[in-house]
Amino acid sequence: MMPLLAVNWHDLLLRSVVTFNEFVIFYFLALNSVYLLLFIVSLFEVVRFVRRTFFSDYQQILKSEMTWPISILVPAHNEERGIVDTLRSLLQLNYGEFEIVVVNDGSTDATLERLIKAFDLRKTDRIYRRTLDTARVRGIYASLEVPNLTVIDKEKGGKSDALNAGINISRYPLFCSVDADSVIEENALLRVVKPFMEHPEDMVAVGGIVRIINGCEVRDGRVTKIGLPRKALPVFQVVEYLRAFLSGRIGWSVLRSLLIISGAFGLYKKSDVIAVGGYDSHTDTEDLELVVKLHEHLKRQKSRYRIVFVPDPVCWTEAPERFKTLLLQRNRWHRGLLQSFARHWRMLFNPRYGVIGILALPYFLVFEMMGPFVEVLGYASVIAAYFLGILNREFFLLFVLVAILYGVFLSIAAVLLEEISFRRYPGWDDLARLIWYSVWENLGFRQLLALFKVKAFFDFIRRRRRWGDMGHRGFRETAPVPTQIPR
Amino acid sequence: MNPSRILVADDDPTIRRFIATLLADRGYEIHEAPDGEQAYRMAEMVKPDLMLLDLIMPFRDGFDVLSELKSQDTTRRIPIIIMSVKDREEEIVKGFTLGAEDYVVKPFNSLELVSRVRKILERSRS
Amino acid sequence: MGSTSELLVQALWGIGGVLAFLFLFIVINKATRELKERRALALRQELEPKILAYVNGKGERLGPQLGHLRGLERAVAEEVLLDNARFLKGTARSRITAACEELGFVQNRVVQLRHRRWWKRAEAAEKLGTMKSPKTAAELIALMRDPVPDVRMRGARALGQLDTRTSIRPLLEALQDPNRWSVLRVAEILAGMGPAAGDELVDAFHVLPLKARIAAVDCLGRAKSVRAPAMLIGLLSDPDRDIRARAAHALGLIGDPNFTPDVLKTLKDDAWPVRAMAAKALGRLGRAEAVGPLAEALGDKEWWVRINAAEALRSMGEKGLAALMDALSSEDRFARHAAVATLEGAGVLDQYVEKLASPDATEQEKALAFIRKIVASERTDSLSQSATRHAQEKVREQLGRILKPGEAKT
Repeated sequence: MMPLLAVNWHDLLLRSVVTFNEFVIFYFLALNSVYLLLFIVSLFEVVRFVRRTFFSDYQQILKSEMTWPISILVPAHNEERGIVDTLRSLLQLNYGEFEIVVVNDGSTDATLERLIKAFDLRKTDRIYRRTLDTARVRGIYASLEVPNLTVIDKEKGGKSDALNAGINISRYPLFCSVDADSVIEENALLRVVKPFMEHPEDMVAVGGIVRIINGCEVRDGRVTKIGLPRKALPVFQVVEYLRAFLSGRIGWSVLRSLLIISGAFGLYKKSDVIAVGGYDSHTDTEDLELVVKLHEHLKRQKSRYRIVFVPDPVCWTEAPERFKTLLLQRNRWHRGLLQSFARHWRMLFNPRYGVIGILALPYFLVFEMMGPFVEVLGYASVIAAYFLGILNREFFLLFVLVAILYGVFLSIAAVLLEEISFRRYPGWDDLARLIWYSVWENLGFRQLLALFKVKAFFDFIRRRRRWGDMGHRGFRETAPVPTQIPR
Repeated sequence: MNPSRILVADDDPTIRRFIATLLADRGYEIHEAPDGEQAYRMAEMVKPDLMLLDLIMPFRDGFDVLSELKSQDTTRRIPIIIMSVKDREEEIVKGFTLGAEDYVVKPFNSLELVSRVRKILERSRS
Repeated sequence: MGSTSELLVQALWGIGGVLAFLFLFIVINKATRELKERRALALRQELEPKILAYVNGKGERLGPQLGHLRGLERAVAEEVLLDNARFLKGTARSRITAACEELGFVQNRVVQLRHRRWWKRAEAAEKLGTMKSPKTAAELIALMRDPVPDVRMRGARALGQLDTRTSIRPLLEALQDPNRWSVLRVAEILAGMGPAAGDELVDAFHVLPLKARIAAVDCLGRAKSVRAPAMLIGLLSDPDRDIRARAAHALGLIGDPNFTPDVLKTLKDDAWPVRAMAAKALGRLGRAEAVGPLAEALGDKEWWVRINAAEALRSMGEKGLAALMDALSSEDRFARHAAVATLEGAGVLDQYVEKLASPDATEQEKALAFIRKIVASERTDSLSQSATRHAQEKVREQLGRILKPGEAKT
């Protein structure tokens, strides 16, 4: 009896491995085909977009008195290293009327002192409306030399809280959230406001593309020369960002179900954000949560609205260069995704929420949440099959085909999108490296990210909420020493 | 007599080339600066007899360069003509307040610009 | 089993082929583009000096100076001409227009206006606007019926650039475009066309739909038509509150102080946006008789009206500032707070703080009185900062005493 039973167990194991492997193949095929569809949609949109902006009338928008003024909100927590440079570059933005509101969110370093010194700030008794509830505001500072700069000093309440305080005190109908450590291209505001000018009634939020600053030369808070990072890890992220933004978000935006606008750079209509109660501090990613909230609210109101992604405005941000910081960052992102999903699961498969309920959220459920498990187990099971001696040649080839090569194709396709549209990386060597890393991205990096997501899932279950602090190196230190002019 | 030296500071190369050709044909010696920082540095180095200054430029805007030049003893006397698409009253007033000699709104009339340049150079010679 | 395996291997080769194709496509695309750019640059360096010489007055015609042009050369010559047209006006500009007509660039672009692809039509319209040839007005007017809004907009802008009276009518019609962004853009174009457009606008105003009228009011504020003011004053009592608000704003933009009595009436309007705009306009008009009512508006129940009234007073010089100082002892808490914030922004508070160190006793007394008022208004963030950070010890000490009278005695 005993040997027979053992054979049965062995048999069962083999059969389940084989069945699972077939499922994995099917999964990869489905996943990559969804990506392919998104890519095709994006391809058309990018071509259309480039044709439209081919003759730019930004100069016209710049001069127009009808262009809406913008409040730029910069939440800052312990940003003493870069905050002054960031502001100097923001003040140089090419735009008609704008104000900058820095929110010092209970920094324990010299953030506030540096600001006071650099811009000759004075405490003022400015009056404002407390539309959203926030942690206590300790003081409001204004600058005598820069009239459109305001600094709020408040007790620590987290990024969402800081942004809400900024919303309270900002004066204009549109606000733009900006990370204190990122660099905004000087024409980015003009580009990102254009959708609002085209559809003033229904436009609610516009997201811009985020690119990776590692490897670029930065001078006076401005990118002077674009290049790829030297280290491998950030280059992988460059490829990943290209794919995520150029063929992911554009596609979702066309399908009217863009769920993420990067906190590093997004423009919102203030009244709508206030209507949903501002930013929420119950999730780890306040940017995602806000957009989902806006969708849910507006769909419920049955209003005609638009939340779109514009591939052109550029915000440069620093990518983690070490595994550990990357892990922390992705852990936070994925946890945020899971938290928002848990808060809004009622929208899932609900036809009332249109494409979002029927397509976008199911996509997130299947490919973003369960996907990483299938991927990780899939690789494990293929390896198991090899050791069990049941990995046949056909299966292995099929696996390589749908899991790896299909992915390589999509990564290179994203590089193609970049090449036919914006071409930010001018050098041949950069192009060569981009393509090379597009291949390698699918042989390690993607699998690594899947592992990170699996870990994030368990962290989410354990309700661990930690700020995934990025451990900044400060990109300004990596750039060549700027030539100082006597001031 | 040496030809008068004119520094043209504008981030648009087409405008720089146009003005350079226009004025070089009339016997002036032209220097060009593509951004605010270089404009400032070249003004200090070249000590031009006249400077044409754009307002919207990378690194430092025109007003910044203007006020900096007017606060230094070595460069205070350089006459500066602002050339800009900005045509609002406040901006023009600000330009003159900071010490500009003249303010030309783009689009501009090329022959008019030549006359203004000539006039200001004559005045500062005497 | 063998055949599936073969099939798979073929599939692998297939996708490998697709990858290779993608790769080659990217490389060839980049290479051809760079070669073309390099050639265009070389051509530009060759053609530009000749073209600039012509634009600056050499010869009657550009054609003979350039010789026969082919393909890319023509494109480069057109680009150079149009690049320079962007920032020029007067003689040089007309010479560019003449050259574009002479070399056939205008004719080519007119043909392109009927292209199958909308962006080609839009591009043609844009270039024709820069070329500014008055002969193309009829074609551009016809373009205002294009099905694609982007094309209509480029057409409208091109028409605006032509500076001919014939283009005003079709633009007025375009104010009825359903797309609001287009309406704003057209309004802007009309405003840029000066008094002639303003007159036509006054005539056509009452037949326009509501949204177009709102945009038209904005234009009237900037188009400098002599007939605009009378019309705008009439609109201050329009039934629509947006029209009233825009009309008040437009009168402020025109800036004739004689509008003051009319605009003052709207400072009591039921709709707060109208009051806010009236306050702003009164600040621009700058007449002393507005000071009293503006000071009253500091206590308006709507935040925007208070802010605008305070800003308006600030921009009105001595009298405005005096009114703000009076508001410091107002019964109304909002009025007091608005006054404090504005006086700080105007640097008045700092001046008085400096005077605390003045050797003149009466000056010092005046400063003390003023600062006591601020303290009484309970908005003392700025003062407390001066109390700790001011350069002079005397000032710090005095401020400290005013801020904490109880502690100062001990």
